[in-house]
Amino acid sequence: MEPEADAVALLTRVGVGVLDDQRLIRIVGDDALEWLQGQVTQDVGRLRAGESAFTLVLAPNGKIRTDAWVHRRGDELLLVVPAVGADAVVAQLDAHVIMEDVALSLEPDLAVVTAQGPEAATLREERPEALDADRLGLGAGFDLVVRRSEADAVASALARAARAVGGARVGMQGFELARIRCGVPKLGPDFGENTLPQEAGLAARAVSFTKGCYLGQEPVVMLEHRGRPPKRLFLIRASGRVDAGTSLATASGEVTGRVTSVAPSAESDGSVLALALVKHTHAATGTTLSASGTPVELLHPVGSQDRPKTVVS
Amino acid sequence: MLNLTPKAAEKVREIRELENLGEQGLRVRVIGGGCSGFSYDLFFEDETTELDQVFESHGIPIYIDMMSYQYLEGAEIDYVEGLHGAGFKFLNPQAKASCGCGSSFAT
Repeated sequence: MEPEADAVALLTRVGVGVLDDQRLIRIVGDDALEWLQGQVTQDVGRLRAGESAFTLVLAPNGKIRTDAWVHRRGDELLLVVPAVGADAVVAQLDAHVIMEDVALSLEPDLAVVTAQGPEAATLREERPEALDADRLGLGAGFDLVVRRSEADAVASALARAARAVGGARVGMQGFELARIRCGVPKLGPDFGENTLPQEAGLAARAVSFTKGCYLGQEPVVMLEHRGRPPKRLFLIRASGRVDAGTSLATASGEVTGRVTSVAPSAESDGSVLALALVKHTHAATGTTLSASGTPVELLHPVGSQDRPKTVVS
Repeated sequence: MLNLTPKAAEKVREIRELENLGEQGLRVRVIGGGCSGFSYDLFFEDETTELDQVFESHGIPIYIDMMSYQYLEGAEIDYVEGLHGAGFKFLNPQAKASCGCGSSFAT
């Protein structure tokens, strides 16, 4: 699997793969939906059977514990969360079950096969069990929850259908390249327990400001109404290779940000796309900074409504 | 034990009479959710279960399930009125933090 070809398949047709970096949390019980509504940022209380939503689980200080896709499937709720920190998420959620009829379990024997890209809707028509999850913001995408032992076979079958519409089976490097081109942040490198939703550009996509109270709400709402976040995640273009963790500095040498994720391969013009957290003082589209001597341009804030069309080489 | 202040008990009695609820007691519980993680919940009820702690404060029966009681032992419920509104306020020695409106807390 070639990251560039895989990314092009994802961005222009459809890419199919197994998401080895995701885990599933099952939530059951008569109070499950109402209880979960008080635990996450999105208005999941409105979900009907078969519907899905993208949300965040916050710590009490409003910083992000994890992102998650919530699927209402029959009588149960499934949370698909990044594997990193999944145990801590279960522990936090479990600590907030008092007398409610709610039971939580991490399901290590289940895996996620995903199809992402503009043509994913075509494949979905044949898969009534599919759970909507537009992971790259391309207008279409779904997950299949399967036994881990069967994930590869399911992905292979789905990939055959994908090839019929010009798509492909894709690897994690291809997903990573497409993710960064789409400006989609990732738990761990781009956001986490030091990041507020607005800083990661996730508020518009994952936070309801009308649903009522949930864990961690107060700092998020205060920030929304009181001013700009102290730092902001940006899609950036470096004129050459940069490494995650590299500081961004102004022409005068003032450190004003940090590269968080770097695309695994360069664009056709030799530039490299990356994501970076930038202090609000310099967080403006078009600003030029330096990453250890390599010029870097801030393209647009992650999650902004007016972002340019996705970059495709 | 959980107590009502005299003012809170008076307000509970007033609401109970307005709603024609006879001698019903006050169910107090803690539920998951709210800005700080746990929220208080109050409503009238005339039945208890074997899982309940039962108290009486200023003539008002109070019912608390044993899980909620872990978070409420020693708490006091007051009734406050001010320019920003009026309502029942929990003074809970087990709460290490609470949200601005006071309806949720963390331990």
